[in-house]
Amino acid sequence: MAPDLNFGLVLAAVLSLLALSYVFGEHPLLRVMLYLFIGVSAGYAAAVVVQDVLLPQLVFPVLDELFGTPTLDLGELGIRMALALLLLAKLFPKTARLGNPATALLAGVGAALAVAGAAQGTILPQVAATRNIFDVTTLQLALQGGYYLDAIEVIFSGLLLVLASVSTLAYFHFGATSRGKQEPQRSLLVDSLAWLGSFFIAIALAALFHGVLLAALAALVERLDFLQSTLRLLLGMP
Amino acid sequence: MTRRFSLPIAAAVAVLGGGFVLVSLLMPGLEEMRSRVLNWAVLLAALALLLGLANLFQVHWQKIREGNQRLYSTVLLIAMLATFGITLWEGSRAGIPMWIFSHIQLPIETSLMAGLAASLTLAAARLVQRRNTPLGYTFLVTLFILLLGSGPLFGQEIPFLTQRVAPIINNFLATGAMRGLLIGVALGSMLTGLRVLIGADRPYGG
Repeated sequence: MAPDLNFGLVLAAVLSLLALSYVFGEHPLLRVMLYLFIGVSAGYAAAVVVQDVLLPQLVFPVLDELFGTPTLDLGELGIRMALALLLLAKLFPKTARLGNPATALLAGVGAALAVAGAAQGTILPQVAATRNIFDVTTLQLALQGGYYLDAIEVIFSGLLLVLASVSTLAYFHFGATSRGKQEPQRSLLVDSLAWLGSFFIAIALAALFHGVLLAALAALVERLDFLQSTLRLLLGMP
Repeated sequence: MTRRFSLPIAAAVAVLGGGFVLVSLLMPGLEEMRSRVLNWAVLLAALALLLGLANLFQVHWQKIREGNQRLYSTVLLIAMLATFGITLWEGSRAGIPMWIFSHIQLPIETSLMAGLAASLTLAAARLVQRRNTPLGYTFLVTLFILLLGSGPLFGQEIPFLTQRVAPIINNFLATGAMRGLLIGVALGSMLTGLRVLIGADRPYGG
């Protein structure tokens, strides 16, 4: 059964006020609230991990094996137990090195997924989207209908998008060639594109900043509304 | 001697495990084995998370024993143990865990997010003071235009900004740059991953 509703509301309101008081600087009550938050989050995460992964994938199969109703073949169970024991060896400084193969498997699989994810999830779709930037159908319709200004707009916006993408990439190009006794320098083309790219990056960061600021303002409005309605509820006001 | 023994084993496990997963994503017929390897990785990740939390517990237990910031560590440990015990006993979607989530976690998270509005506004104001460069001005002018172009301000809308300028900035200038940034980040991730897969980088302590 859930605890009393009013207590929950008051607790949520007090915690909200404490968290908002962060704007005025740090104080002991704020730190108590932050430690409470970390403790609750850590406890919740640990319980979910134990319930959803550890019990069904390791503990229950081991118990099933012990009680004579195996649900996994012995080899698979052995590998899982061996990996778990190797990782647990990391707990103690003397045996920590034994855990390296387990963390190596984790790093290797993670790296493989990162490579595949970056290629399939980002590079290919983004390159395809950049390739299809010029809206050919609209361009053809505009040209057929004699709307030349619209056609120019389609071409211009496509070029702008390509220029923004390419110059942003050029900004992170640090390859340079040495010229005799001179210091290594980037080519003039890459240098110019990189200079232009820095402005595009500033614009992109401003757009991101704007998005986060709007989200934070929405959260602030929601919290102030919650505090006001809780106060009205506690004071018995309609 | 131990180092010589352990070094190639860890590297071999990383290269073979990661290499197999990568190959299995490209070649059909290896799905079942890939699922097994991924399950092992998920199990290891879960255990690693628990080890991290056990370390958090140990650090704060030590602080309590030493009398160093005892109040904060006590609050953390009680909250951690109580939430862990109740959630494990009742299930993560049961009454009390959901009550804890909606009356403790959610208000704090939302309020910290709300506090970000003030922090970001202050940061933007400091940028005006400290960064008098063309890039700083580009950032601030873009931000100002986007804020004015977000919608009506005190009931008044500036159609030129909301319907023309802000969409151009969002749909073309920022999108193009974000696409470049995303492709750059993805290329960096691929390179880092490939370095682990060929054994050039060994973040696992090999």
